[in-house]
Amino acid sequence: MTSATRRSGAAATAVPVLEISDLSVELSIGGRWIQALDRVGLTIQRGEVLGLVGESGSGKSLTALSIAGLLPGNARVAGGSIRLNGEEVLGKSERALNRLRARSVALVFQNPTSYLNPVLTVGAQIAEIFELNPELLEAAGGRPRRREAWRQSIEALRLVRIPDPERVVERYPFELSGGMQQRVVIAMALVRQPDLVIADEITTALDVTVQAQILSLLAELRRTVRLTLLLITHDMGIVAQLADRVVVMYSGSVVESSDVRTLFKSPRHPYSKALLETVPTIDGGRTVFRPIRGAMPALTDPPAGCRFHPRCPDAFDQCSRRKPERLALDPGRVVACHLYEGGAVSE
Amino acid sequence: MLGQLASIRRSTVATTGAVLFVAIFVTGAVAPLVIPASVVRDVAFGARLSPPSARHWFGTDDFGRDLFSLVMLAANLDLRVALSVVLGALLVGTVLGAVAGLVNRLDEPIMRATDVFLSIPSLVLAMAIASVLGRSVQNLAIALVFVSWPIYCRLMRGQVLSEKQKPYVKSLRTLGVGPARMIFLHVVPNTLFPVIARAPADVGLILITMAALSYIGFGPGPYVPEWGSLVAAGQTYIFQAPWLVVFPGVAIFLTSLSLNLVGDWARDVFDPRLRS
Amino acid sequence: MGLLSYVARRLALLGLVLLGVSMVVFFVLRGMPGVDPLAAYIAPGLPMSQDALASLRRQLHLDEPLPLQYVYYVANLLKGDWGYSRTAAQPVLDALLARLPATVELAVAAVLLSTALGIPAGIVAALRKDRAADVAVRVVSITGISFPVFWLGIILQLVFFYYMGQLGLPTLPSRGRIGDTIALIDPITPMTGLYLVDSLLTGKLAFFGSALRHLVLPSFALSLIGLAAVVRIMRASMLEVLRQDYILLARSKGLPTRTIVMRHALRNAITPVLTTAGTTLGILLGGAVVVETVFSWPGMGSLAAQGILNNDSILVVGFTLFVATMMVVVNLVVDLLYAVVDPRVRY
Repeated sequence: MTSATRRSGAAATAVPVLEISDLSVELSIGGRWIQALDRVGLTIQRGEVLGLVGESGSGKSLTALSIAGLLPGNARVAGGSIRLNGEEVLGKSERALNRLRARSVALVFQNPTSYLNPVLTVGAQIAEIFELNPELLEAAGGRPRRREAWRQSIEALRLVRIPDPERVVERYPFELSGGMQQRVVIAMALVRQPDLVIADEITTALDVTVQAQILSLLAELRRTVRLTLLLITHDMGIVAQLADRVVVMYSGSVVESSDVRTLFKSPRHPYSKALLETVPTIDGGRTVFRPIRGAMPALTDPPAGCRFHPRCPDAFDQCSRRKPERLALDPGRVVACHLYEGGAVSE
Repeated sequence: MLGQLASIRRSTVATTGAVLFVAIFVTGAVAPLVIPASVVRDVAFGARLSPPSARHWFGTDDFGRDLFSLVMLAANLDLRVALSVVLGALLVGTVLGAVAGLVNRLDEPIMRATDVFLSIPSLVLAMAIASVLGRSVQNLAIALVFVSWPIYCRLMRGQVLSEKQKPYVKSLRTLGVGPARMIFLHVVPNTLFPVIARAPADVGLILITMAALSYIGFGPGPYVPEWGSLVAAGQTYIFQAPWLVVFPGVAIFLTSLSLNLVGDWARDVFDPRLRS
Repeated sequence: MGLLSYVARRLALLGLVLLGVSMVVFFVLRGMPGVDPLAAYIAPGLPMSQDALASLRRQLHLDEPLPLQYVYYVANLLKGDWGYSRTAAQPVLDALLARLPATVELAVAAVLLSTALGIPAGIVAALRKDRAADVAVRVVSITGISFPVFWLGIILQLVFFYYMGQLGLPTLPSRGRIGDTIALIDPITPMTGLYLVDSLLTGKLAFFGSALRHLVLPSFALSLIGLAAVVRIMRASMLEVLRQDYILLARSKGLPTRTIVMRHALRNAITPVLTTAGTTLGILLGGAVVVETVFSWPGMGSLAAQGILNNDSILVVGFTLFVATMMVVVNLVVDLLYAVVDPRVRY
């Protein structure tokens, strides 16, 4: 199952799979419209894994939902653009969006148990994708569509390394473990041969050993099917394992973006630094925790200026007055922090 | 709680219902004081079956009696019975429900009892009890109480059981608060609201059931006006004098509607988890 | 396997409930304080000698302790001896069974009407929440619950029989199950007792037509309360289901709304409606008493109503027991349907 065939003829990967620019989203809370995403921008090239990092409430999931046009009823896009393979997503009709969701973008969410329909078998939930997109069924020489869809569903389960897929395909979700359920959802994503897969905290609800298995599965799929992945997580460890590039978000804005190695070696934004320090280390037999003090501000009552400044060890007077703009430090390296403006760098 | 009651103003639908019900209630309360008792017994053959007019707003029946007065008087009886039945059922039901929730040994038998009562349709059960007790308004009321208590019992028991699990109860226990004090001062106030939320809609239901039983012929006699029996009496002349059937029915409908509107709001405010 | 033991468990529970009902009914009949149990068995106004009274007492075991009387009572019930009804001039059970088909036909028609109209209305109301269609549906449903059923029946007769006739328009019949002329000219041999079924089976279309026309008004009157209840539950349940995570995932697969509603949402949303169907039947059977009286429908309900007027407690109590048994059976069927629709219940 390769995804390369559809863009036959396109030369270099000049057109990024996903390009978000200046995306702003507002939420209606208590009758008021509140800014939830503020001019978010990110780019993913084909075959790349982009890690989108931040604490809960930073706006990562909202960004993901915007890409597929699945924003909740109380949210609205206030500006910006989302381009999938060069095509603008915002403003598309629901029908066009459905076509997009069917073949171009696939989402995998956090808690597989609640995202699988309890009254349908696992097989039925995968097979319906084939029924929706008959072109996925490699012409099987006259075999009836339903049986072929079922057969391909079994193959999909095999692809995500589920043991005994012929039996599992007839099971109901509640009969499977959390790890298996998540593999099923991943299978449902892959089967569509999408241009982009968005994984939103897919291992958070699973225990550590299962998490490791899922991550190794993703690593393998990266190689075998040239997966283009938007990996949303709050866990820097996962980012280190899988991502090529990283985008760090805080309270609705992008604060830093760079490739993985550079970020881990020399993070610029104070928040990125703090995030990296939260990974517990073992120092002389004792585990050392360094949490970031304070909490993310409520969307309804954000601090003035830079939203991180109350928790920032390097804040100075400018920080509470004006929100920092995004600056390109080096090619492929973006930071939004007053520390780096106009050369006034205090390391 | 007063704040919650005042919030009714935010819902125009519920306010309309409340206002409507209060209007009907006041009419019913005032009726026996304003309308002379003779209206029920006086026969005026000259004015038989006359259509609604300036003199007789709802027309007259086959005895020449003013239908408007009859409907108003009937409001008194119907509302009195319906309200006292629901009150009685609330009392019996909540007490039994609280007992079921608090006393483990009695829980099972009380619950089976409610199962049994709930498996018989209310009208049918009321019929059965009333037919054995004999024909009178009091017996009808007693029968209806038998029919209504199980729901409140179940609700109360559910509430008490879930309150028992709550941390504040456990902490009260560790503080040494005795069971009786705990029940009356702490547990009961928290549990009553969702149960009471059901009452308005129930009054409407009882009202209709009672009217239905009267319609079949189980109500008070022709000299005690009751909405259901007024409809039954009017049915004989339905084609000549349809107003006899229409007005009492509309009265039942409006009362029930106003109660349902308030009831819906009450459920949303006092117990949003209840969907059905 | 799971299904079988589930059924067995439900049967046992419902058997217990029936036993309880028989106890209540027995108490009502024999144990009410201040009421002489013998009174129910004697036709008022008919003089009976002391010896006749004494032998009647002995026959009914009235001098024995109450629990023993109960045993005799239940034994009789199981043998088929439910007492003798003055009103019907027949043994109670025979009278009820003879009139059962008429009531069943009416009740089934009412249930079909209320679900056929109510389920789609509830779904539409949920999908168009707070818009015109939703408000209209909710208004109709709340007015439906507030209508006294007997009054509705009378008004329907007034409008569709009398006024339509006055205006020279085609009318709907207001009394009975079948036109008198047809019954005389071209009667059918009763097989199931259900006129619609029997007439179709024997090919007597005129009879079928007449029976159908007679069924319209009473079944509509009876269906209204059930309709209102079904609409409310369906709407609330559907709204609840549509908020679930698995619906979001289904949308993210690009499935069209129709498929999501019919395949994913409905199976999950319909279970509360099934429970309501069970309780609605109870209200329906109660309402049948009134509707049958209004429309002179020769079913069990109108017989019971006559029994009340006649002070024929034996009939009324027998009717109560019969109805309770029907409810119990219907609840069992509903439970079975539950298990079919929702696989989690079987375990």
